[in-house]
Amino acid sequence: MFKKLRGLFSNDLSIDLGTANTLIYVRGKGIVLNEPSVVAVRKGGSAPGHRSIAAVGVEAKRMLGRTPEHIDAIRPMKDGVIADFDVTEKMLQHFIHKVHGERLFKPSPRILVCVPCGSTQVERRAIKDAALGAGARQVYLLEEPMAAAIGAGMPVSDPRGSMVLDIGGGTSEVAVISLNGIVYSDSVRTGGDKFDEAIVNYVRRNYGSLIGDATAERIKHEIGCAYPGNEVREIEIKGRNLAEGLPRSFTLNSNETLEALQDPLSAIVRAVKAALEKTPPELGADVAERGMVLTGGGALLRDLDRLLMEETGLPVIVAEDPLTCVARGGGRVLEMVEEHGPGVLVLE
Amino acid sequence: MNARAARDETYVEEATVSSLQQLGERLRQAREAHGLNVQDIAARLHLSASVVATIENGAFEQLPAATYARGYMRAYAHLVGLNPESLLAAYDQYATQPPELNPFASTPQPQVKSTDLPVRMVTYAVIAIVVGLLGAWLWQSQELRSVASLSVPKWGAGSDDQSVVTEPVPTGVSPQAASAPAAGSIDVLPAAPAPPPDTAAQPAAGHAPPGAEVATGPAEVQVQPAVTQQAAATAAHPPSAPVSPDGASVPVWADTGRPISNTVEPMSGPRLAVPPAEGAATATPSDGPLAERSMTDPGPLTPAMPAVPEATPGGAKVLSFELAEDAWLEVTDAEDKRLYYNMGRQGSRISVQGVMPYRVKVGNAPAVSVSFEGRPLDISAFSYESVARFSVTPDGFLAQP
Repeated sequence: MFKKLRGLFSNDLSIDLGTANTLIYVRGKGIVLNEPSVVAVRKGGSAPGHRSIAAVGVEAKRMLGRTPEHIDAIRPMKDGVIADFDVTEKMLQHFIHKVHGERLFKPSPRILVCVPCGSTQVERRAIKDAALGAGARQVYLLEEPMAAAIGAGMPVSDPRGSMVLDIGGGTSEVAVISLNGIVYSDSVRTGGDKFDEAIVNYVRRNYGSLIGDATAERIKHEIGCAYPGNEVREIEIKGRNLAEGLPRSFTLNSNETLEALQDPLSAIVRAVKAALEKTPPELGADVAERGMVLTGGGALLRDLDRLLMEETGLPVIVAEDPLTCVARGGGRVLEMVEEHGPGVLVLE
Repeated sequence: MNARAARDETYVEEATVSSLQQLGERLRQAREAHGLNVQDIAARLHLSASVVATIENGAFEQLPAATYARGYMRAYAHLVGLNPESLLAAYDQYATQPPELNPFASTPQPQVKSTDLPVRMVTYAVIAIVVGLLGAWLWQSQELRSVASLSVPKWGAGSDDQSVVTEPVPTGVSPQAASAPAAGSIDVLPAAPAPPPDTAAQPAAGHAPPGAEVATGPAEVQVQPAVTQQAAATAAHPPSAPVSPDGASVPVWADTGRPISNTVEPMSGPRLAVPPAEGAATATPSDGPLAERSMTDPGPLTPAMPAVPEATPGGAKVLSFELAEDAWLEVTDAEDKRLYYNMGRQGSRISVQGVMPYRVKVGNAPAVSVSFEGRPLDISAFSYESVARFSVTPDGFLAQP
């Protein structure tokens, strides 16, 4: 009753609760929040075992790997699903409040959350409960590739096959969609995080130096590429030399990152090839004619489209603003829900 | 390979395009400048040659969707060393954006479920109406039953009210009558004066040879002012009316009803005020029986009267019934002794005597006339569906049983 009343003063939200970033789309306003899914937790305090939130989002991400003993910078999402339920709930609560600003009424919005298509019932339930715990009046779940396809502006309602590859922080999802439904989908637990991890491993192996995740991410953003290009970019980085135990600086170039990323990239290519293999022939023909669309933060990796193009022989298109596709697609579905009620698109 | 080389270099500055055709034209010029043909481009982009031709012709509406068209163009521009952003800006400006996938064709109509609010509301409304109707019906039937059982008391109460209301009439009469030499004669009047207008007047007239003509004369004359003056008084009262305007007429009536006035004289003292009230009260609701009674049978009163002096000292007063038809009679006294409990036969006359008050039940009430100590009682107010139940108090009132 009161939730309904408060709902009048709340905006409906579409949340892309990603491993790396959480994006919130507000109906009629667009993307209003794009922050890292990181929470800094202060331990101890009034009672032993008590935890309180120190920072959320960008602020917390700056603390990653740089925290004193009593603060923990946590990424509560792992591989696209919840790793730490309480912290996820607090983080969502924080973001929802941030979106609504200071209001007289506690916000009680309807929330659409995107979940990886490979997630289990338990994982979905956890996400739903976390959103409800964060103050949602009603929670809808939508599969990420569907949201990504809609957000990328693909004609998902047509009786034609559309292939979408969403490379997120934790997972990569590949799906073939036709008539508002997912014909085939697969999710591999390879994404931006795995890229960072691969770079860290490569640097340790080849340079005998240890670098943090944040540095690895910076390397990926600045010189990372998926396909050999003419130009070779370089970056100077500092890491702790494992043999000496002292920080040392060294230079890394783009071809080395390409080598470093071979493993996770081939996992994604394998997933795409498997999807094409298992797609019904009519839809496969449609995909071959039109190509596939890349969304998600991973699509920003230089020349990833070219790699996929050469590997599969299909046209590959990087969606406009690939980072926000999922949240925008969720927003579109939310409008649809408002208009037509939860239909086939929404899971629950 | 120079195409790839172009990718990573700064883009050639180009003039703004003013139409989609020009957009395609610009791409073609760039392609030709690189010495590539359509097939080369198609092979590099893994597109069919027809799609490349479509782009160069600017027929973007033939491409699957804006997303794809933009993607193809971006890749093409990259390949031939054009700045894709400016081309895409031009595309966004001129391209008629195809209607986006909003209407979801396969979205099923939301199913109407029993938990839906409107359905629930209608259900509750229907249930409420049904319960309401049921309740109303039960209440009504209850009401009917209670009316059936309560109707006698109700009627009794009504008659009490009437007696109260009509009281002013007899009291209004009695002060005037008090000025007459024989005030007690009021009691008698209904019996005797009724005849004059009717046939019953004949025996009455015959009964009083001396001055009978004279007596009836003024009476008839005086009836007129009575009717006009005492509108409140009902038809039963005109006989009493001659008394009120002119006390002189009373002696005349007293003369005609000599035997009656004789008997009344001793009683007039104690009963002066009350009996007339009762008589008036009972007479007003239905003067018919009274008139009838007095017309058809002026006699009964006279024999009853002699009993009065005997009854009064004894404490047991006589209640008499006169049956025009067969009727059930039941009379119980204060000691629960049945004084009478039988079917009374037509034309019979039954008198009972016991410890006051009496409780009486009369079947076929309209056919029975009741008198107490010779004074007629109107039981119609206590009748319900021709059965009358009442009790008679020691001072001659009717009351609820």
